[in-house]
Amino acid sequence: MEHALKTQQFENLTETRIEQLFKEHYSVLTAYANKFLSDLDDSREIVQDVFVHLFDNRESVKIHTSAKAHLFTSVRNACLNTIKQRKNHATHHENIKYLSSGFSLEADKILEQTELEYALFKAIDELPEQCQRIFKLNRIEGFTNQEIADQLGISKRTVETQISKALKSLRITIGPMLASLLIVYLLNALK
Amino acid sequence: MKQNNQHIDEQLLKAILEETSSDQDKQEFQKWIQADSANKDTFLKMQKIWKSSKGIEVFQKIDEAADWKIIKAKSGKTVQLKKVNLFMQYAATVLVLLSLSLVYLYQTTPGFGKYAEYKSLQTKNQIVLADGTEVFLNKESKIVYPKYFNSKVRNVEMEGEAYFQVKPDPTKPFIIKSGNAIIEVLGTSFNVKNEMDGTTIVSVNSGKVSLKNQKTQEIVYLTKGEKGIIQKRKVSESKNEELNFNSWKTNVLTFKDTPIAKVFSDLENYYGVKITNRSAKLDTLTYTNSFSNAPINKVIDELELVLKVHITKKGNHLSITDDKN
Repeated sequence: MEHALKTQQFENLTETRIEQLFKEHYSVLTAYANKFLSDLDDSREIVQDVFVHLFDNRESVKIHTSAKAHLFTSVRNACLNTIKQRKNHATHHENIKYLSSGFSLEADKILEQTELEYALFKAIDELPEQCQRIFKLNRIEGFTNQEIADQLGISKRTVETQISKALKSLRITIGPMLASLLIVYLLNALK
Repeated sequence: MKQNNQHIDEQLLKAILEETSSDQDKQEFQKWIQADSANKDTFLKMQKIWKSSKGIEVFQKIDEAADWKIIKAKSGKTVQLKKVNLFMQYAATVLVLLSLSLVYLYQTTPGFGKYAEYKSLQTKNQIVLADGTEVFLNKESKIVYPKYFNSKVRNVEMEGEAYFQVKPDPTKPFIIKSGNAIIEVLGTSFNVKNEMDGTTIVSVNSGKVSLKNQKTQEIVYLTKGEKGIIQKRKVSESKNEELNFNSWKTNVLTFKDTPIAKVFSDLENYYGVKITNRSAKLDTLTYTNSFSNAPINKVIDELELVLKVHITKKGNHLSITDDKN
């Protein structure tokens, strides 16, 4: 987020800078594209092409906003093109609507959500191994606590404790990112 | 459980999130959440984390290192391709320019491609062209001719003086551009001479020659024993009274009742000398004789004997005076 605010006009794109941008944004960009395309391989390809283009035209590409904004706009546009090219327009009708307008609030919300998920992914990665594995089995693989307990040969109680620990830890790490949630909630409640 | 507890049991919250909570838990949760807005905030955050954590699966499937390699590979290719393209563009441009200049040089520059050039300086030369035509080139003359003639026409260019013995070929006219003249023949022999003043004289020895003024496109046809003269815009034809028009080539000088002044002028031309006549008695005489391959001293001796004069030779200068004897 702080990058978006720090507007760098006509920044000089060195190879190192592009690699840095890749490390910072590639995963989020790909996951973001995946939310529209529901096809991870297509999403990867789109984002890769954006970087390839940046690479090949680094002499001439003029980034008027932040590099991050440039990347996300590029990916968003590429997604839109892909969706348009796909034969089954009807399925993606909603997505086209989100993507079409340049300042789509919905598309920005989706981006925010993707960023949150990436932050979570990183935070989960930092959890103690056992805690991390249990949490993932529960949240990603969708196993019940009993199933996890059986699988790992531990008590259900331990599984529950570990998940609670994970949640608490994540709340501490991720909490600051969610500062505005209450306001959003209240605003929604007022409607 | 404490009512305004900031440390509500995480297990309970989790049960709420998992929707596995008992009624008792739900009551307790309601109490807790209403006790403090901070509690509500905590729960909302947890809920958000809980829901969002389902969406992290995609990140596990993204291999950044591998995809970075793909990007490097892809971009490397396009960059290389672009460089090659740029190089190819330059190469193509250079090649086209080179080809054009080669074609231009080939078409125009004698000695380089299609055309050969021959320049004679102080010697006379004989050249046989590709079609078998013989060209005798006088001193200080030049001819430009194709190494091979094309199928329709035989074109040459000439400066100075030359005698052409054109190989007969009715299907391919032989065309000479010289000075202001365009001479077209089928097969014949004739002499072409550019004078210093720009006049071109064509003297025909055999066959038929067409002589065209390049400026006016006026044409005269010349046959054996005739000569045509192009002088600026005029073309004239006359009987060729000139006995020695091609003596430079035949090395034969012929005089037949020739006025002495004309004899001297022909000798001047042939031997490249300057003759000063200081003998008044010679002016009215004519002279008849023939020299073949004669050195100038032999001619001098002959003249002294017949004309009864004295000739002194200083370099290229002949001085003729009355014989003292």
